[in-house]
Amino acid sequence: MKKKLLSWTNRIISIFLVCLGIFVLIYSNRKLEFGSVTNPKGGFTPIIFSSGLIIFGIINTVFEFIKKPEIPEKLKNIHWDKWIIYMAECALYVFLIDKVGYFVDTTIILFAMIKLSGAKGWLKPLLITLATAFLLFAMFNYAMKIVLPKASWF
Amino acid sequence: MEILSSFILLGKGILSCLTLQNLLCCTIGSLIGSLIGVLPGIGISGTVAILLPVTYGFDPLTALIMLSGIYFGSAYGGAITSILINIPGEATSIVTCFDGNPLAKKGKGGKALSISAISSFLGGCIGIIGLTIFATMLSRVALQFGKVEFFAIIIFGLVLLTTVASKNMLKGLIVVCLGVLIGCIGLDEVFGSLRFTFGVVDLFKGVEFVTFIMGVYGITELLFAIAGEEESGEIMNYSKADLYPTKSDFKAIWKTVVRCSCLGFGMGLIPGCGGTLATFFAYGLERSLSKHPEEFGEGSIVGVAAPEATNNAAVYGSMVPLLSLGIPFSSSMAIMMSAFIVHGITPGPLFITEHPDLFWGLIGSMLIGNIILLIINLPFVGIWASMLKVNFSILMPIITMVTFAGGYAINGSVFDLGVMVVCGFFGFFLNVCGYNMAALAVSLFLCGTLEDAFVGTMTLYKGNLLSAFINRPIGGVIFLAAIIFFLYSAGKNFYNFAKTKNTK
Amino acid sequence: MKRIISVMLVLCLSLMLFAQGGSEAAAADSSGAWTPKGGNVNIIVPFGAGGSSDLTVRAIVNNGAKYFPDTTLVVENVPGGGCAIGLTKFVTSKPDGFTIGNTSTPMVVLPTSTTTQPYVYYEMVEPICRSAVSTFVVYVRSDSGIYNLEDLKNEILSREMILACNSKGGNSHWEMEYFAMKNGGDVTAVVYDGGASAIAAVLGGHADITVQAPNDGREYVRSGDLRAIAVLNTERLTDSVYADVPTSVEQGYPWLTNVGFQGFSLPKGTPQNIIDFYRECFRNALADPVIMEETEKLGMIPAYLDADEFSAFIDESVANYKEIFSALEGRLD
Repeated sequence: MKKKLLSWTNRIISIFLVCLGIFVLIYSNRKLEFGSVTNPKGGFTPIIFSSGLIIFGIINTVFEFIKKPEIPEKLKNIHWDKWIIYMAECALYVFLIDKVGYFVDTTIILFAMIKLSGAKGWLKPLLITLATAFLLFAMFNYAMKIVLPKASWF
Repeated sequence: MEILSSFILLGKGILSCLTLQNLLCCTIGSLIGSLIGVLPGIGISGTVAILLPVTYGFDPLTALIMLSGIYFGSAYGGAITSILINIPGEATSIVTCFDGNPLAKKGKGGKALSISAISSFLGGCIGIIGLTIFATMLSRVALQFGKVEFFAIIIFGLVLLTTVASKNMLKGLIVVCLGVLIGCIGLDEVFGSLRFTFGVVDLFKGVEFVTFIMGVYGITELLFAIAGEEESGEIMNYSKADLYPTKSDFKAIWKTVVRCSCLGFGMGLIPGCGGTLATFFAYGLERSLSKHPEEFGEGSIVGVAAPEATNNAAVYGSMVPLLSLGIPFSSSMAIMMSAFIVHGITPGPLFITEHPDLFWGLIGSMLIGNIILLIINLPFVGIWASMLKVNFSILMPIITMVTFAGGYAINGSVFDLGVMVVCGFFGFFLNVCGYNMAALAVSLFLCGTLEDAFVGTMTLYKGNLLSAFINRPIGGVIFLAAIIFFLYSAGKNFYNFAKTKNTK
Repeated sequence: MKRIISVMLVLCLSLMLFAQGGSEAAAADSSGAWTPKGGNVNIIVPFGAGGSSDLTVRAIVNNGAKYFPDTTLVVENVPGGGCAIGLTKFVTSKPDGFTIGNTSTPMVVLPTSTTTQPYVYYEMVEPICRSAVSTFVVYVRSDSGIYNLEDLKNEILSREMILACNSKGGNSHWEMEYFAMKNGGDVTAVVYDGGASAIAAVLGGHADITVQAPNDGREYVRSGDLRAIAVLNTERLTDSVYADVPTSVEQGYPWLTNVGFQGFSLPKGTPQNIIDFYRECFRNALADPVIMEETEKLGMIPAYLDADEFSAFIDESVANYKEIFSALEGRLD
């Protein structure tokens, strides 16, 4: 089942792109003004390039469906459980950064990522995590004077 | 005779740099620049803006020496991450990924790094020579480029992107269209209209180029690294012999370096182009001139030398309009200009004649800075290459955090981080299916300038594109070249496709 | 197994912290004196770094730190859209006293001249003070044969003249459209991405006229590349380079003046004690002689107005611009 889905990746992506193009075209037609060639307005570029996307996308989709479905080379060795967890960790990082502050968030997620990629033990990863988080925090706060998100109680 | 006197003045400028204070600031500036180049996301403009107050106490020449070091320093550092981990440190190092990373994966990372350092150095030297000889002569050339020429160059750039970056031109066309569409998101400057923002205030500024790069290169690459093969840490093994280039390597790249430096200098000089686009043009040029075009993308050292020489030379090209006319054509040059103003000097057409000591001292410092960087970078090649021997499982998450930090540093916006992750998600699948991310990113980048140039052209010539190109022959020639190139590439692609179909 | 543990760990920790941490700080206390308690205060400058507007703000930040107790001022450049993006970011930020906006003429001009702005900025701010005013100069190429506004008028009526402006509907655009319209003619406006590009366009022959701040065109007047034909103000400029340039009033066009202003504001809804804190700080900072000198060096004229007077000034400007732009009806779009 997974193999079938993966081998259809190329086809799914090509269909997705065509749909995206159609969506942009309809949205631009409704909400933006095309203007004219001599006096282009906001909708000019999106309409032209989404049309291009649709045309090329359809041709591409046809080719993808003619070809035998194959799992793309780069996907052959992906561990999908790790993939999902990593993406979830990234999303969680962005979600939490406002809520718990930069330092805490970086520490948690960095530690989780290090464990995810297979580091052994607990002490060494923890020390590295804290050191990195602290270094980044210091570099941004003191050296570059960029305001990092702070938690309300930190 | 004028050229000779220029070189004599350059010599005097170099001498004026040889004070301890100036040398120190030169070194510090170029090192900081290199560091900024290595770290993805944190850009030149931000760094110069931050360091500017630090230089308030210095005398003008010293301050400018340090700040200019940041510019060409970053052109060195950007290649390091491009080669080793396929994440470009700077926009001008994107093309270096194409061949640099495959080389590193083959165990020749050290060689790629040293070729990149040497090409950067040679490109810099040629750029400086160009600046010396042509500063006054070429200043007015940049002014000749108006909206029509920009439009033509950008169309050429987009056509180039469909071909140079993807093996499959159809996918290249899709990617360029997609890139331009993503670039349309936001409050558009040319028309003043809000596009595709769906009421989200954070989207008003659109998807930033650097954020996008960090998403599709950074996050995507990290996804591959962390979720991919377990033994990726072993790939970076290298042999000592492959650490530095050999004589035959030099022979292979010297013509490339000269050609690309000239191209980079020229394109840096022209407003609206800049180093990033120049690297793509250089790559395309070298690939079409090469006797082994199939090597490009698989680890050709020419493919590393070309963009690196180009981006360094382009730095000096972009300084020509600033120093000779006082017109900064890019945002990074605008900050350089503010550095001048803050120290009481306003660059303008009279700058070189009124402040020759400052002008030549600055150029002299660039030469010295390049030498310093080369001397520092070469021994470090081994160290950088060995950094990848650090436990991959620890290195990659740390790089993730640095990438996020860099992404945040651009605008201080958490929303940008979200955009990065989303781009990484989609970028992963697009990448896997053979769509080239560099082309996508640069198309996004070019969207704004494309619209600006197109509207300008249409306004000036009342919608008559033909008369525009007839009246502005340079633009017309470039546009024609773009069309011819497109037809040629499409034809070649189609021919190859038909051939493979026949042999099946 | 290890991975599952790490994921659980992350989820547990984050849930705990989420439950504890909560979101925003308690609502600002609107009574009693307020200070940022040493925190970073962002001044959003809707111009690119390095321009004269940006540098005047930086002059205040770098030299005036002592007038802002317990505050770390940080300049944040948010350029684009002729100030639209920066202004949008500013008016939509939290009114908690940690974001100040460098609100200048575009705040008034953009919403009145064009219909496509996301917000009516001047209705969404609490003014702190006005810091400086500036004027504009009309430039043409030296070899153009145009020496004054009269010549310009004749040229506009006899052929197509191209105006290089920095943004649609902004301070580099509407004056010449207005001038042309009132004289029964028209100019073709081409938008460039900043003063430098607009000047380059005139220098390179792609455009005929440009209207810029005096500091931006100064070097080109000095080198003889550009000629300044009018100062759009009631008084001439004191800068020696512009000493011989007559004003538009002198040349018989008293309605063709444009005085740009620069000021600082807080987002609407900011409590009064925060506004008062900054009023005091800026009042002291803008009286500092070093800051005044820096401002003048950048081509602006220090012209302090406190919050209430600034507010009245803004209302007056709005009325003034509304009148002009309704007369221009659609020429600017």
